[in-house]
Amino acid sequence: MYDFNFAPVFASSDQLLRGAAVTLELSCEAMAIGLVISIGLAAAKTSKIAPLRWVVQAYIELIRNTPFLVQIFFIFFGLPSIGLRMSPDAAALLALVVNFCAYATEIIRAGIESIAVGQIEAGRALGLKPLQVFRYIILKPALRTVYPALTSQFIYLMLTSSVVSVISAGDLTAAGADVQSRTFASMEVYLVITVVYFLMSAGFSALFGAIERAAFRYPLSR
Amino acid sequence: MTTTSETAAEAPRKTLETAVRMEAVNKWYGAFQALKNVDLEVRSGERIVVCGPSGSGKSTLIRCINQLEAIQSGRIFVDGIELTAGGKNVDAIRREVGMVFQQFNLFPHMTVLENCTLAPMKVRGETRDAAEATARKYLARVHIPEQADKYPAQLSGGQQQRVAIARALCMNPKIMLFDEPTSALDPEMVKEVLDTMIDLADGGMTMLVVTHEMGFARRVADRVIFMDRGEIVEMAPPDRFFDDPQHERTRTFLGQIA
Ligand SMILES: Nc1ncnc2c1ncn2[C@@H]1O[C@H](COP(=O)(O)OP(=O)(O)O)[C@@H](O)[C@H]1O
Ligand SMILES: [Mg+2]
Repeated sequence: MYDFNFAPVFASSDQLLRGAAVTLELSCEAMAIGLVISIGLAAAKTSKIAPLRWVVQAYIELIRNTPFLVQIFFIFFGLPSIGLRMSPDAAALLALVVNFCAYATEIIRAGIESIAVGQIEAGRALGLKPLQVFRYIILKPALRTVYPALTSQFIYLMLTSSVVSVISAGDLTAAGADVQSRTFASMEVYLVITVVYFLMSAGFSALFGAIERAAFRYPLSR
Repeated sequence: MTTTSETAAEAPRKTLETAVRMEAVNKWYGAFQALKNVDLEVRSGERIVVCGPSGSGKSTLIRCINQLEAIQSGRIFVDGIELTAGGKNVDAIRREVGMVFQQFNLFPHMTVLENCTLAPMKVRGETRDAAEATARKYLARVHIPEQADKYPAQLSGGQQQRVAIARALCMNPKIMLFDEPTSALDPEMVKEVLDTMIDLADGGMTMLVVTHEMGFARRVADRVIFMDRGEIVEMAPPDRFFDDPQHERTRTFLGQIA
């Protein structure tokens, strides 16, 4: 029977908490920035301007068909060769946003395409310009339609952020790896970290539920 | 103002008293011709009812007037402004033309009041207070002032369509287009919407109404148009249209819907 010993893990709880805070901060920033960019990209992807659609599609294909780890290495180790040098934190954020947007854009695009054409025509007939139609008429119902898929992608972003530990961005996984290498309590460290990720996930789910109830109060017909 | 000379140059094209003029309008969807050489003049204050079999081009006809559909040849003038191919005038024209759809097309995420104030605020730049005052006035006019804070899904079909009418009126249009406004309604709600439209007609609004409600046509129409296969086959005042139709196709159609 394995003899659990959590003492060394709890001795490093400060470091682990700081790591968790970094993970939360990084995730929240990436979600907020990523959401805004994805909305813009989804608008471009559904626009009448073909070259715009192609560019967005190329970006999506590139990101979805390459490993996230390689994307991080490209940004953190590759880009400095052409003079784009950034801190591990910045590189981690950029990588997460770039990766997230490729998936979120497709989700939001599906939401936009679910909007009945009559909605758009009603807006145009009232004299609204295409961007106003998008902003005031399409966006909210579109986001509501795909909200469950979008929040899954948010959670996935938070979990995937553990990969940025490879460039020592100081996140929860990096903190865990550091504690593990000093204490050799691998089982205990990763057990604790697993639980913390799970709790953060549950917390985000609860938060997204609250946001849904606040933002999408209008009743749906039938 | 730098537009003075342009306005002057445009002036000769402006025919007073003409709300809509269509000259030799042709419209294709791909290879399919939906409008064939349509000529139509609607005078200001006139009420025109358009009927005809499904697929005859009724919706296309009125959707060309506010450029929800582009035409391939011919000319369309709305309130003296010509619709240009590039669509530069389209915003100016849409501000003059209100439209009511078969499926209501209310915005589900906005309250009734928000549905009515969106365009006045975003297109005309009205303040919220002014837009809300106007909206409440028209909601009272269509007899649903008490529903202002509800969402569309909480209303009956007839109520939703009356909100759609109020929403269009809030833009203070010179012309109202109706595309089968009662076709999606349960029978018991048809009357409340038609009554609202009759009230509007009695107030002097210029109206183009696609409908098969022949009682409505007799009551308010100045002229009734029968369309078939993309053409205006017959156009006459209601008594003559119903009691003495000139064309075989019109007679057949009237026989079918009677
Ligand atoms: N967007 C479209 N693309 C192709 N064909 C269309 C389109 N809209 C309408 N049509 C065709 O044009 C014809 C006229 O349509 P419409 O104006 O909607 O008729 P109505 O309103 O009289 O029923 C129909 O045959 C219809 O199938
Ligand atoms: Mg139709």
